Amino acid sequence: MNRLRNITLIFSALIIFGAACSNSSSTEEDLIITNTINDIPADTGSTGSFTFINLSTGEIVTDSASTSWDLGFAATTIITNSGISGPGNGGAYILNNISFDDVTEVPSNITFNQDDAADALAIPSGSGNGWYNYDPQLFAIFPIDNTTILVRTATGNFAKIEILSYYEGNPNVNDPAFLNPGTRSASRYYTLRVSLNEDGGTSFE
Amino acid sequence: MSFLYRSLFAVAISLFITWNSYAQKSTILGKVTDLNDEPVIGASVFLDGTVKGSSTNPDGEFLITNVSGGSYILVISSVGYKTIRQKIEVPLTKALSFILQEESFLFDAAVITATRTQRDQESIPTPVTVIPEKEIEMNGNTRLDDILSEQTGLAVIDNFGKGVQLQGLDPDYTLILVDGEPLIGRSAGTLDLSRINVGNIKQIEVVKGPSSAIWGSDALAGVINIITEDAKRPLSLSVDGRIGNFNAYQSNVELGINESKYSTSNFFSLEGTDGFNPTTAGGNGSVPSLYSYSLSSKHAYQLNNDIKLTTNARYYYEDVESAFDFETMVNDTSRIQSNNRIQDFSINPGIEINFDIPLSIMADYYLSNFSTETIYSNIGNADPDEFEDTSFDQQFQKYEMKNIYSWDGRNMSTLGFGQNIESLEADTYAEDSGFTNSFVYLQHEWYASDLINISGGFRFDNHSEFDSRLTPKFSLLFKPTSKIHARASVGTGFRAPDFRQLFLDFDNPVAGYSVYGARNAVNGLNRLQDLGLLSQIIVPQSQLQTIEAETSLAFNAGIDIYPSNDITFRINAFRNDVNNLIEFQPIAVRTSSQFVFSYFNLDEVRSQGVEAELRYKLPQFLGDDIQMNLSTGFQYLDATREVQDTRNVIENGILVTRTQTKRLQLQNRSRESGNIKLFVDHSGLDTQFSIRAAYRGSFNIGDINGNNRFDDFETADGFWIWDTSVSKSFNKNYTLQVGADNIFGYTDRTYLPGQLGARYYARFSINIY
Repeated sequence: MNRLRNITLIFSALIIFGAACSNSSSTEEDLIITNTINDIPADTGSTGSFTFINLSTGEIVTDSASTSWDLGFAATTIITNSGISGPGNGGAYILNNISFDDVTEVPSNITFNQDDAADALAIPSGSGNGWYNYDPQLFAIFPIDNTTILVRTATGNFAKIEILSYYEGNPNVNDPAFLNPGTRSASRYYTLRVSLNEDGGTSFE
Repeated sequence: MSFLYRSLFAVAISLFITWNSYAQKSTILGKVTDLNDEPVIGASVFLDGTVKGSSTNPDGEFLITNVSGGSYILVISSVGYKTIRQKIEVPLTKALSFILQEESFLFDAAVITATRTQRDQESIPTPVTVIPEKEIEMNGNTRLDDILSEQTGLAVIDNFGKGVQLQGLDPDYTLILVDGEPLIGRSAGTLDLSRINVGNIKQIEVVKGPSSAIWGSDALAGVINIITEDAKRPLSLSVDGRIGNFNAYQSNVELGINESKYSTSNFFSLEGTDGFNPTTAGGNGSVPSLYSYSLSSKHAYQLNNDIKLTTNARYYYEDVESAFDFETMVNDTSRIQSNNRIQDFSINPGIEINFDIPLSIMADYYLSNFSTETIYSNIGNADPDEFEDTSFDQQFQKYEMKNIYSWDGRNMSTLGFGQNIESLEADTYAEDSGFTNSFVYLQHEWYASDLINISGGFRFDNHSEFDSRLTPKFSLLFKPTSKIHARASVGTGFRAPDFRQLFLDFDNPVAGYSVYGARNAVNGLNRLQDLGLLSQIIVPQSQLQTIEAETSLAFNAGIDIYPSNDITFRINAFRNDVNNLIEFQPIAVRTSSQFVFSYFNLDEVRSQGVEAELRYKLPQFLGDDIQMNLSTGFQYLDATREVQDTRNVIENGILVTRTQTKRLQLQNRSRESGNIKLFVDHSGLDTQFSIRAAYRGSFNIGDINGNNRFDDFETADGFWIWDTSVSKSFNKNYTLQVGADNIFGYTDRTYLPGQLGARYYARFSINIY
């Protein structure tokens, strides 16, 4: 199914003028786009193929050899448009123990990682290593709380993302229907919150 | 047996013999009857603070010989009767006679576990709970975990087997004994209590607080000792059968012989169930189908006045079949069937010597073997595919000698020493897995006055795999009046690293990680290095292989109040600080980018709380032949560990890490738990009725998303489980019992997958002789 499915771009993108922090390196008129991207299918057919997303539009991109995509998703693996994964100058850095809202800018004392090798991705795979924990009791994937991923897009803009859910329809994890593996909605559907500085600045405000 | 051990034995005997006292010896003769003038058979009779004692014969008579002159407290107790404590002056001028009052509920039993000497429950300075046979019978339960789940302060949890949390500490920290000998076979730390049949149990003794000072490793939270039935009558034979839903069945045969010199008690049980699968597709909330049988045989032979020979043997076999869905990380699902066979065997020959001096010597040998075989097959395919077959074979041997010396009516010493030898053969363990542990313990009990009883002692353990340990304990009992007993104790406990933590040798072929026991870590790493599978060392070799026992320091203080003959109120506060908790952490990285793990002493936990219990024998307002007993218990628990709470903030464009410490509740602990039970005994109709409810408050199942707090989905709701039973006897020899456990069918598929819905049963028993 290559058809764009269940992708909703929420057009309530916030456009904020001139509220940037005074000692930030960004200009005072950066365009910040904030999206929620729903139900990105991530290799739902178990064929090993990635779904490529442009963070600016929130849409699926089919041309993986281009710089029109920023993140690729297949099951629990997330790639950036960099290194072995794509031709872009992308990258990512995982910020732990800080909420999405508290990440007001790209800190100056971090270095973005790139996809250097299949086992050295900018966003590490594996439970507890990157963005999620696997609960063997519930057989469920939970995004790690207070984990914000800074992304450098293929074209060098900065974004922050928070993964809200790995399940179709972003279900409430406290709902009994979710807690029962038999009635839980399908896995491999990402819901993301994204803030992107379109103008190359490091601020998200 | 080692040379050292034999030498110690010889020295101890000669030492004690030279202490022989030359005072005139007397005999105490007496008879025990009930209110109907019927003899009470098998009542325990002993002189408090001494080793002298006996039990009543089929005519209710008892004889205690070789008693030095002086004043003593004679204690007469029998299950179902109120204990008598009578002051006597020896020599006596005539035979004694005692009338025991029936006591269906508020009884105090003779207890052996707390001090390793027979003691009246009221006079023990540490908190002890005794569950009598009568309560076990009225509950209609067949498995130890069912019985314990109704007791105050005990929570039964399911973690690779049903185990019991005592004072908020994990099942790994409670020693489980049958007739004073340890059970082995702890898979992942939990000794599965559902393995233990309660069909032939006289009483269950639960000692709370650390008891390593006499029992050694594992007795860190406490000790549960299951005392099996002795033959009371010349010949007894009974059979019973029980059926229930989930196609559960059980049948038992019990045979006892008690002649003048020889007695034997034998028990055979066969049982099984189809188990329970909540969904046809499997799912995770299933209880496996199983069948099992157990055999136990106890023999005692009184060779002469001084020497008694005993042998106890046990055999248990279980076959469990279960199936579950397994979701692999690539989101494939396969259906896996596991077949698990367990065999548990033990034999325990011993000798008891009671010289004509106030000295008892007990020496015994204990051999126990626990083995399992587990076969996993993928039954999702048309062709079942057996892909894993693992076995586990553990052996435990113990030689022990125990000497009890009574200095006078007020001082008593216990000296014991021995050696444990343990070994393990299992697929995922290093080849030479095994260790030895030599031990000596000394305990002194001092009845300083009628008001105060002080006891203290220590145990020294010399283990082949880690440093020697000295574990002391002191306790005090104070009786300002007969209505108030106060007790306090401070003790230390330890738990030796288990086989897994010492010798595990596990390479996961699928996920590509490895876990090595501490003593095996260097070997394992060298092997990976030679195969070129290591990419990075995290912990240098010099820091590996050092592992110590987990240790604890604990305080208990409590008061028992007896405002009237019909009411008992007990309250006990406890605090346990456990250090050197053994946990695993990465020591190296493999070329597959997966970690190699080994075990270290890392964490510490604290568990504190208060436990209270009220027992009330209601006035007989429904008639003289209707006795009602009500009891209720409650525990408040605070079990925490210290965690580093790390937060990151961005300040002036710089990422800064802030760390603070906070205490996080331990998972799977309920802050509040309790129970309420009503037992009704209609002696006119030979009918008994019980209704019992146990509450377990909400608990956390773990910090799944790693945010150092417990979210709603990580918290299970509190719940009540209600059980009831009614039984009627005909002609004293036939008894019919029907009952229901979990009447309202409480289940929680997510957090309590082993919790079955309502269970109904009927049981019929016949006393043939």
